[in-house]
Amino acid sequence: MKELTYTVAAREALDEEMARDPRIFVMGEGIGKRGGNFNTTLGLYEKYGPTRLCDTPISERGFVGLAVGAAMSGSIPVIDFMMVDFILDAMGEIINQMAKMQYMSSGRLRMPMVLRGCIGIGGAAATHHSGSYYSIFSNIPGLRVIVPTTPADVKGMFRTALRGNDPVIMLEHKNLLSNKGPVPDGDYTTPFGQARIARAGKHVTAVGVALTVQKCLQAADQLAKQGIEVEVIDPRSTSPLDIATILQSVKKTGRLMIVDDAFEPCGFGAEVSAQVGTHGFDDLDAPIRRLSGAFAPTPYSPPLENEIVPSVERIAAALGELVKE
Amino acid sequence: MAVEIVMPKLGWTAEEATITEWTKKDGELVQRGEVYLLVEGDKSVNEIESFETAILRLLPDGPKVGETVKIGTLLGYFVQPGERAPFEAAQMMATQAQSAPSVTADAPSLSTVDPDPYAGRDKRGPKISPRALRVANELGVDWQKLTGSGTSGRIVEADVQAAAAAAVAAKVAVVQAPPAQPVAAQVIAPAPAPPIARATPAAGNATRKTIAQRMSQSAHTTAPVTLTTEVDASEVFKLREAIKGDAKRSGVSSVPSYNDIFAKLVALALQEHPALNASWTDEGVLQHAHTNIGMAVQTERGLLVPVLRNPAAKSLTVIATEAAQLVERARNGNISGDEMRSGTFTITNLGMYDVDGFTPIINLPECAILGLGRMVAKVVVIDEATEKTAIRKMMTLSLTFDHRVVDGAPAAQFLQRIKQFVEQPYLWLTR
Repeated sequence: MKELTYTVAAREALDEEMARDPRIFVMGEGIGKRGGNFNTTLGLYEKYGPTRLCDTPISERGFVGLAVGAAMSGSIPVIDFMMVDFILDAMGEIINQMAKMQYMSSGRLRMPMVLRGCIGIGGAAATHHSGSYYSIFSNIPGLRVIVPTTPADVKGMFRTALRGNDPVIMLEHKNLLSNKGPVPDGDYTTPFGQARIARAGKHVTAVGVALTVQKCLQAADQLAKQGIEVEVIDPRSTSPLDIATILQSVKKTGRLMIVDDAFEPCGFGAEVSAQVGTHGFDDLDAPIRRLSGAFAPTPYSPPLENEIVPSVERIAAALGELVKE
Repeated sequence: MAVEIVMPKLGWTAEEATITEWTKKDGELVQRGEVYLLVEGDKSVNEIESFETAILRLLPDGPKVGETVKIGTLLGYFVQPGERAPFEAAQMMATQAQSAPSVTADAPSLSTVDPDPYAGRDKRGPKISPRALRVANELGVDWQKLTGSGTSGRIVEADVQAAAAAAVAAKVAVVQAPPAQPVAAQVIAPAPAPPIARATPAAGNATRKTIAQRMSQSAHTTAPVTLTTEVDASEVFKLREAIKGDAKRSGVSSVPSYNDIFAKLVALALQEHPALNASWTDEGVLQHAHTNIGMAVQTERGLLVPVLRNPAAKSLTVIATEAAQLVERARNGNISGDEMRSGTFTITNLGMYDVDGFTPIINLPECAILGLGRMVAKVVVIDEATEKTAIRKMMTLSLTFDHRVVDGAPAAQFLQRIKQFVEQPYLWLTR
């Protein structure tokens, strides 16, 4: 067990897997000598050279298409988008080819590849660098969408992604990158579709995603002083989604709030809410609540930016109200 | 659509049958397959199940419990939520006709039966969460009378639980109230007879009087049956010797007695056999939610029964400490009434007087009592085929139960479970 930052833990997974499996290569803008905008590939160029750390021009659709072809023909590409907002330029390749090809080929073609990039509102990055797209991608069959929140999880889940046969979209929240946490030694993997109970409690269930898991934990600390015990759940992957763990928690608490920085309509919270409404109806002691980012393009101004995402104080207040309802 | 409930035909030749019991109340939601009615015909009681999930509505002036009626007699209806039973519709029409008699002659007559599709809404009563509704149905709480404690005004689970707890407390209070005086008096007070000899009032006479009342009430009102079985207590003996050895080495003073060990294992067995953890009340059998074990203690004042609270959930060490304090207070005469109340089962031990089997008397309002006999080394057959024998610590257990509350087979199964627990303590020690 060692203490690593989120970025270093993810990089260790990539480094160790590249050393283990020569089919893995990385593509992206500035991920070669520069080591990635967020240091995601720092030091790997020196180790593995320009073929396996392949800098690309600014042409997302082109290099995603290239990677899809490479995956079909036996390589394992990792595309590093820096800000994941730029993934949108490659949506045709992702949804029509990458996600559908295994099905269209009756499984004769495999699609082992990982698309990764940073998500989330923070750091005055403005609206082209602030998106969280897990809800959009979770709506597409054939994709796996993972949103690790701890250094240990990002390492284990990145490994799982690199060892599987399916296309994986790995979304890393900007404000989690410098978080430190314990990372197990050795060759471990973390499965998809298995939520983590980040904190046990009995009065209300808070489901976060990415950064809001951390915010829910902080809100839970505040509420604990008032005797309110919040159970915080980190789904870790939004597709597949581990609804069973959430249902089990709601069975215990009877109250559910989904906290999400991203937009609310047709979003992650709507999906969790609908499934719990269907399968956990008789366990609900109060209506399901959502707390989400404002349904608006993200402003550049730091005070405004802070205002449009759920703060720890707002989460604590909303959970407190839900418990009293 | 309201579905008629009629007295069912229980045999080819049946012409009439008796309503034994409505197991569901008027207005209660009955799940498909649930029993809602017990009917007696030809000496057997039949359970009548519902074919669909619907609300039971009983005919207000229909046949009563205990009444014998002809097959096919209308007893009530099954209706859907929000739907009115036919008799209600009739009542409403009657009321409307009474309250509005001055309808103009040329008014269309149909207007009086104009059904308002939302009329039922006002009658739905308070809002309740799905969870609270489920728990209310599980616990049999009539939530229509509750008010929601939350900010939304909605009835939540906590409100239902509180109502259920209050109802249980009220029932238990009734059950545990001192034995009804008229009954006791009837039983023990003989016709006024001239005193034969004037006895000097002995110390603790009040206790003796209570004991006399309770014992004769038990003997005269219960239907006691005693089952005995011989168990191999070698493992329990070894267990206690081991604890004793440990305690000696580590200087711990409280070593669980056999009574303490039995209190725990009996409580655990009772949780598996809740039928024995019950009381007879005027409304029927009341099963207790908690398991508290009374320990019969001989004192100078006479027999006292201090109560161990929920020993199933406590370690043997904790039980030993609590029991030692209770017994000491019982013997010193400073035990409180509370410490002798709320028992749900009693253990009595005559083993120290070389007694094997006996017929203990049930400690009302409980339904059973377990007597522990002496533990004695005996030669027992281990394997009949090889004629292998061994010396084992054997003891006799005597279970007296009230046949009004529970039948022989479940009581025997409970005793058998205790035997298993005594012979294989790992069964409960690993809980």
